[in-house]
Amino acid sequence: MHQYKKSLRTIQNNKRAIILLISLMFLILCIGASTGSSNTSIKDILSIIGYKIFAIPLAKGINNNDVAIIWNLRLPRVLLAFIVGGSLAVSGAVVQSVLKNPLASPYTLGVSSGASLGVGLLIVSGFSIPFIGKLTMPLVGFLCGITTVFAIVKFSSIVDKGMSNTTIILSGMVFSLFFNAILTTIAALYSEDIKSIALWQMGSFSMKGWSYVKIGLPFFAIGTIGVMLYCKEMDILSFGEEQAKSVGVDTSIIKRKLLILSAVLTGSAVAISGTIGFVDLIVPHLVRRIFGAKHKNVIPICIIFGGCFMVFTDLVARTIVVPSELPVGAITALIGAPFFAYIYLKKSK
Amino acid sequence: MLEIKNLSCGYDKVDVVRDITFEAKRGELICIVGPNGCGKSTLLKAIGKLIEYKGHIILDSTNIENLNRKELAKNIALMTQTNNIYFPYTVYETVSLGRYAYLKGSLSSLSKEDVDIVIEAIKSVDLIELKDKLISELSGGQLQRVFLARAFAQNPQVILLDEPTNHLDLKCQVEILEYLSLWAKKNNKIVIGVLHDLNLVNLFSEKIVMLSQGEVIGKGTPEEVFLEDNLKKVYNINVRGFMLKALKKWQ
Amino acid sequence: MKLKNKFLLLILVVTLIMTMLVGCTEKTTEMTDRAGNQFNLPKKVNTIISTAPANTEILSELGLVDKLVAIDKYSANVKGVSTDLPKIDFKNPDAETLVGLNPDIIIASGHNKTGNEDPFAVVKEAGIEVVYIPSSSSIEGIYEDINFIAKITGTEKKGTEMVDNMEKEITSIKEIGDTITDKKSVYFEIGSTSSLYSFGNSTFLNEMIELIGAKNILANETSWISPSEEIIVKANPDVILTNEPTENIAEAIKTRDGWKAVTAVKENNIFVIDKDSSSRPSQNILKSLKEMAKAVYPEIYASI
Repeated sequence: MHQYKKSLRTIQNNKRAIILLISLMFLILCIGASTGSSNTSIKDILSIIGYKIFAIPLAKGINNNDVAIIWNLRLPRVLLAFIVGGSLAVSGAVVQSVLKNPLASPYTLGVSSGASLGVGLLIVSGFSIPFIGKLTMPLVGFLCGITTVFAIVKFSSIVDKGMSNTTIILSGMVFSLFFNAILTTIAALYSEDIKSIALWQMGSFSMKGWSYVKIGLPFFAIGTIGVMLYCKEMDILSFGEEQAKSVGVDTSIIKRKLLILSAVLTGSAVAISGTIGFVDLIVPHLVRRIFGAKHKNVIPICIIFGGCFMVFTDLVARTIVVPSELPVGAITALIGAPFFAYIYLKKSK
Repeated sequence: MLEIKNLSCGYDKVDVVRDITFEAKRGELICIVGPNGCGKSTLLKAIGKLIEYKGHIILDSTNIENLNRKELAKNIALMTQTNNIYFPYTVYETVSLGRYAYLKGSLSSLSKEDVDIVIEAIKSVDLIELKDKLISELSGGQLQRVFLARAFAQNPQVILLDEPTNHLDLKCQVEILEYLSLWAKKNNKIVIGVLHDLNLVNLFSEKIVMLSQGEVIGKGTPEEVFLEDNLKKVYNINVRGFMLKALKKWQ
Repeated sequence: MKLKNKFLLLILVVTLIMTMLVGCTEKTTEMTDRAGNQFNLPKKVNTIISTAPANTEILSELGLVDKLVAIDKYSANVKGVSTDLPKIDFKNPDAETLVGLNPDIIIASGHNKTGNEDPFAVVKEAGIEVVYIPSSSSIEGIYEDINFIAKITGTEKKGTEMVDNMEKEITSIKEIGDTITDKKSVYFEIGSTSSLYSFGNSTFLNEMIELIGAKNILANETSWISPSEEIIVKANPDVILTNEPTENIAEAIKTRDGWKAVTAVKENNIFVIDKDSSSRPSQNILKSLKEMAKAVYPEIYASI
């Protein structure tokens, strides 16, 4: 036990671990980009990237079709999966820390039910905003998700000025259940759209492209950098509400800011790819188990683990029943749950 | 000097504590005593601005109502019971949390001055050899000293104690109070504690505020307040008689 | 009465009773529907409920719209159907309403059965006959559907006429199609919200593609599938067909990320096919068949 703790501390503080993790990230990204309905070698992928960004002439044997597939379809898809996975994992870590509840998930704060309801209404009404066309759905999903979280935070602060964790969790549940009920009713009335709504909820990265990456990136950057700035405060919150206050942390304000950042991260993830579950709940636990609970470690590693996991599951989703695709949301739980159980069993021995 | 004037506070709009007035002079260790449910903890939480209150709390002619969290932390620090802390911080890291209120901005780290203060604080509780040990590996008594050091590192004018040593053995209890007493006298600061053990209270405090059912029954030195009648009325048991009986057995 | 007369009277009475009894049981005929289920066909079919637009179209062409007492909501645009007809949601049919309408027969489709649950079980217990016509996966199947519906409604002559007409037109197109040696590759998209939807072999649409002398890029798959974008781009079809009723769908397909290099996009060979006639297995597939032929080989089929 003592030796385990010692090696743990080495991992926590070691620069080598950082290099290892970053290499893992690049490895997964490369594998993701090279595997698909047709496999392309990593050398060819690098050649295509070089051609597109630096105008280096293509290597022999690569035709326009391959370039289109890799550059326009696979690469943005892999990056999108990484962004979404990273966002969800960080958001989950934040919510679990702030609410001091290992079962807390940003989805229980209403983001997913709000976004689903918004998108459901959109699908049923067939409405589309001119100029942005296919980006109407992510925009609506995002706005609805964020609004829901704001409503929950506001509601909690009215009901309980100190915004205790129980109040927040209960408010989240009330709103979520209510919005879900509305969505179910709408789906029952417009039963022919049930499939579209359900498929959207199950999550998918197909048919998104670079335009989604361009919108997703700023939210991802703002969200993760914002969260990193509050790593120390999140550490302090772990010592308890009273302790945190007595040391000088304005807990209500910090909690509010963190929950809003989490909403931005989750809202944009849901907007991009639907409500993919499991990553936000389980990845933070895994990271803490292996690397300890200090947030200045947890948050960046959650980005890498969450991102890689999502790239991997999307890979499985799009290759396992070629030429068809499975929804990513189904795969995340299918792969994740047994893997999580395995890690936990192994560590507890 | 810390002045408490007409303080009333409670939970859910019901006042647990009514119209409390007393003062604490610099260099003093004051204990708030009383039976269970008399409102001691509630009173202490109000002084730490952890709950809402009516009335005034004035520290050296500054009304603490106007101070934000960080400003308040520079003046008042709190120690509570510390069980089950599994956060992977070392002793050093935990004590340096006490400097949080002095940091400017999210990304700033401890200045040389901050580091010196932290090391001093750790030294003053005799934990310097263990400064890089994880707090999850410490004993209960050692952990309590870590949080005491953190309170010291905050460099406050007042330290509040909310029954911090109930769960610890006698040695730890005595230790903590000795550290605090020394700190208060040496640095001309104030310690306000809520303690159950009347013997410790008797030995260590300069002044006592005795509460019963949310009101002040007596305030003054232990000799003035611990009158047999007072104690019997408040605690419903002959405290003095019991203590003397116990003392005889020790002899 | 004389004994001989009494005996004759007895035989007469018995014969009358027997013919009456036999007449009673002869009110229905036992038959098998298109899904292989046994059912009892009532002697007279005057009131019909149709639950799927393909069947409603067949009924309409057979001249039976006036016998409809209720339809599903998608059948509302079928030729000749009265706008006053009650429209029922057949995903969750209300048994009371159906029984209350008192149809002689309900013509259900494969779409109505989800899993092993029979949504009409209760209705059948109330004594109403329900026949199932599962969605046909071949053109031959459509002929049999038409003949079956004609048979149970006593309109066999018209039914045979319809089938013969279809066969004639399809054969003439097939003859042209068979002459094409350099077959164009086609991708026929039937949906694109959240994922792409298309089909492989064992579908009447696939048969239609082959009839006109083209080949479906997904012919190796079976039935209805949801392919990934990569597959389509890699297969590089010469022509893209879609029957999605969304506005500007052709433009949307053309501007999809990564599809620029596809031959069909480069040469602007993206065409919209009429939705109803390409998704309902009825006699009206002829309409979309001709649209498809002209879209893929405009010069060759200019005359049809």
